[in-house]
Amino acid sequence: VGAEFIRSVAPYACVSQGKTVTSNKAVAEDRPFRAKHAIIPCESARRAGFSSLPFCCCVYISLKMSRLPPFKTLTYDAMNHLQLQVYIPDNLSNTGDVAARAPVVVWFHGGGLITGGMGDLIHYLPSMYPTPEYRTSLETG
Amino acid sequence: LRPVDGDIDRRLVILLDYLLPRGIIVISANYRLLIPPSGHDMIEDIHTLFAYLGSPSSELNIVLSEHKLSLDLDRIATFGISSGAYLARIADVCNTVLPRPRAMLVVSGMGGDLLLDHWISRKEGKGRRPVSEETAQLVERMLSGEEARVWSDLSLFQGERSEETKARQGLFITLYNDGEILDHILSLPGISARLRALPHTSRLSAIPESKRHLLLPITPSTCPTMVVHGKTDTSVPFTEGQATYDDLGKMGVERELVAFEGRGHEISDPVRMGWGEGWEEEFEKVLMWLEGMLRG
Repeated sequence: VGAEFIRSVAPYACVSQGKTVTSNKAVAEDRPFRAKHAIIPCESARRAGFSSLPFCCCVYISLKMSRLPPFKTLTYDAMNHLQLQVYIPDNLSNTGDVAARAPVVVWFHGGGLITGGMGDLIHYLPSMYPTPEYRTSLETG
Repeated sequence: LRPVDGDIDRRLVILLDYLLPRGIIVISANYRLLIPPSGHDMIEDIHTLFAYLGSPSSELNIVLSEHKLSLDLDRIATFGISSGAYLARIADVCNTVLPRPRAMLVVSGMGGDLLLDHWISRKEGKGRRPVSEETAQLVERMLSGEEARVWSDLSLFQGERSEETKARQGLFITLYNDGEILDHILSLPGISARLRALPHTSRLSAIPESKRHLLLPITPSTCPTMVVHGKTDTSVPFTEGQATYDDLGKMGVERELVAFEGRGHEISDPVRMGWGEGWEEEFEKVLMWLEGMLRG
């Protein structure tokens, strides 16, 4: 496992015994449904900058590998062919007959007022994620 | 290890990753892009969009009802990135946009002060950004009015950029180089050239009163706003964010400023412009504010 990779996922790494290396452990644990985990050798971790690790330990990494949430594309202005994409939360436990009222964030893309489109949302604000090659080497190593 | 275009399904999007599990709907909306449209058309589009959100019979509300959801019209926030801040701001300062949003977040946002030299001065020498000969010809056609097609969906990221996107990026760069983008926002040919001759403080009064609303001045009824901006931004200068923040203060509007020392436009575009570690953590704080405004 490359040092560069570990550094890039470092905010999500914690020591195997559960000791927190970074303050962002809570963030990683907040998303278990989206995370896969990997153990990487401490030598690699130390090379990546975790110099304070005890000599014999492994680093437990939560890899975030989710699928993009589904969205729907709708037309809000037929005359001017203006569309929007809506991402709908799917975890609201609403068993009643009355629809639950949910807040909404309306996002506007950039592009100098001259370019850009609604699909840019998923590109502007991504998290880092591992490539398949990295995943393979992690699962075996 | 960098995110790669085209491998979207393995990519997490912090905005969605943060907001959706917290039960907040996220909408990304197109709007008519400048030339031939102007700021007038953008204002119209935001009115149309919000009326659509508020209409019980809209297709959106039908789709949501299938998920046993409805929009909470008292809890709408706008979020604009870079020039998208201009659109977010329309909703927030125009009190004829209904339903009214209750919070605004602008990141690296344009529109705080469109009268800055940054937008109005003619760039010289190294200050000019390059445009290829081929693109320059297309730009000339677009500016001559021969190319009258209206665009509203020209993604900057979809794999290979389309020819239209490339040409219109050249158009933006040309308008930046020549300091003329305000002509097209205000739909007032020649206004940039007239303002250029004046000191910054005299520029506002040189704009016809009938056009000043297109600068989207902050009003006392503007909703609480968080301004997030990189101190060394060269695409949209920090002064823009600072101006928005100052104007909010003058109008007594609840406001927050998150200024990133030593950071530029990459705070809104971390992949392309390069901000690795630490960005996501910072950004979650911003989203926490947004969530708090919607829950409060």
